[in-house]
Parts: sequence; C-alpha cells; structure tokens
Amino acid sequence: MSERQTVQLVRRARDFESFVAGAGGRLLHAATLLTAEPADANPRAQRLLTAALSRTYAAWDRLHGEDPYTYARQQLAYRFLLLSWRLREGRGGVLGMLSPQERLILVLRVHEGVAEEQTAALLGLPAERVRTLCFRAMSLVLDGEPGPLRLTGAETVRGVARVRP
Amino acid sequence: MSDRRENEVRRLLGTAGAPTVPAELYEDVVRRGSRLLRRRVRVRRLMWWAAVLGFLAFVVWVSVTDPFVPPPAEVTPPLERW
Repeated sequence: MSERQTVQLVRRARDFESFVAGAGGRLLHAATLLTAEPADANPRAQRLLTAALSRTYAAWDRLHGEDPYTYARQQLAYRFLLLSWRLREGRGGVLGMLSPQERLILVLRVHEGVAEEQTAALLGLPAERVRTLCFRAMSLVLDGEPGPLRLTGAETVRGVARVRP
Repeated sequence: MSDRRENEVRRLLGTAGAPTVPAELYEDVVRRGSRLLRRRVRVRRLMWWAAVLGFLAFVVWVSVTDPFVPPPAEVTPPLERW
C-alpha cells in the first residue's frame, strides 16, 4: 500500500471517528424515539444505529460533499421502515402509543426538523398525508387522543365534500 | 398555534433523556462498515472479470465461426444469354 493511500485511510478514520463522536448521541436519541424504548434499555435502537452508521462508513468516500449526518439519518429512517413491521409494539418511551409510521414522521419533522417535502419523499407519501399524520401524532402525544377532525385546509375541504356532496 | 404545539412536543421528546452511546458501538460500526466495503469491492472486481471474460469469449467465437459473413446464395441466378 502506498504512503498516500495510508495517509488517506488514516484521515478517513479520523474524520469518521469525529463524526460519530459529534453525531452519535443525537442519532441514538432519534433511534430510541423511533423504536419507542426507554433511554437506558435500547438494544433495538443501538442495532439500528450500528446498521445506519456502518453504511455511512462504507459510503464515506462517495458522499461528495453531501452532509454525512443527512446520509446517516436517511439510512436510519430506511432501516427503521424495513424493520417497522417487527417493531410494531413499542416498549415504552414517550412515543410508545404511536404507530411506527407516526413515530417516524414525528421524529423526522419535529425532533430532526426535516422539511415536509423531504419527509414525504423519504416515506413515499404525499406531503398532505405527512401533514395529517404529523398533526395526528402530535395530538396523540399531547392530548392522548387523535384530536378533532379539522386538520389542514385541504383535508377539511375533502372532508366537507364527502359529507355534503 | 401549531408552532406552540410543535415546541411542546419537541420539549417532551427532549425530556426523555438522551441515551449514552456505548463505547463498543464505534468499533462495531467500523468492523461492519469495512466488511461492507470489502464485499462491495469484491463484487465490483468479480463483475469486471465477468465482463472481460465475456468479451474475450465473444472475440474468440467471432474469429472461429465468422458469423457476420452472409451465407452463400442457395438459389443460382437464372442463366440468360450466354
């Protein structure tokens, strides 16, 4: 192996390590909210994070200026979507009463501040649907019930149209 | 109204207490990440070899069987004015 390659490998390892040191805690928090586990007993969230970060490690040289945090978060969301049929029932945590999809939307939109359009693209849903689900999830978390059915403008219009054709 | 509620939810999610990242997680990530990389390199190398071998086989086949030369006509043209 040439000296240049070794230097590159060392730099790569250092960069990745500082990335994990900086972002690992926040990502693990998000993962723990997704799996609806208590903060001190979160094996599923740790596995999810390990999978997402190892893919980020493998893709490190191909990111080409893309934010590694965004990439890792996207991987986390994808892996969670794949697993969510098994993680259906939460094990406590703040979001235990929500469905996996609602948890994902709430964590991405509110905890991570991802824009509505990007969340919608990530989940393959229309933005309207994401807004409705996010509203529902917030009502469930804050009030313990899905909330009144006056949601967004478009939803209301559609609801009225169905009641009074 | 929605902003206030969003802040409330954000605060609630924050109070859950941030979990600590276990020390062995980093090593686990690097080990699995390197394995993924190695596998990807191996697959790419294998595909290159397959492409090269396929091309060589094609060249040999072409040079042996001459498949692009039109076959000799099976019908003799009519004989006129000789």
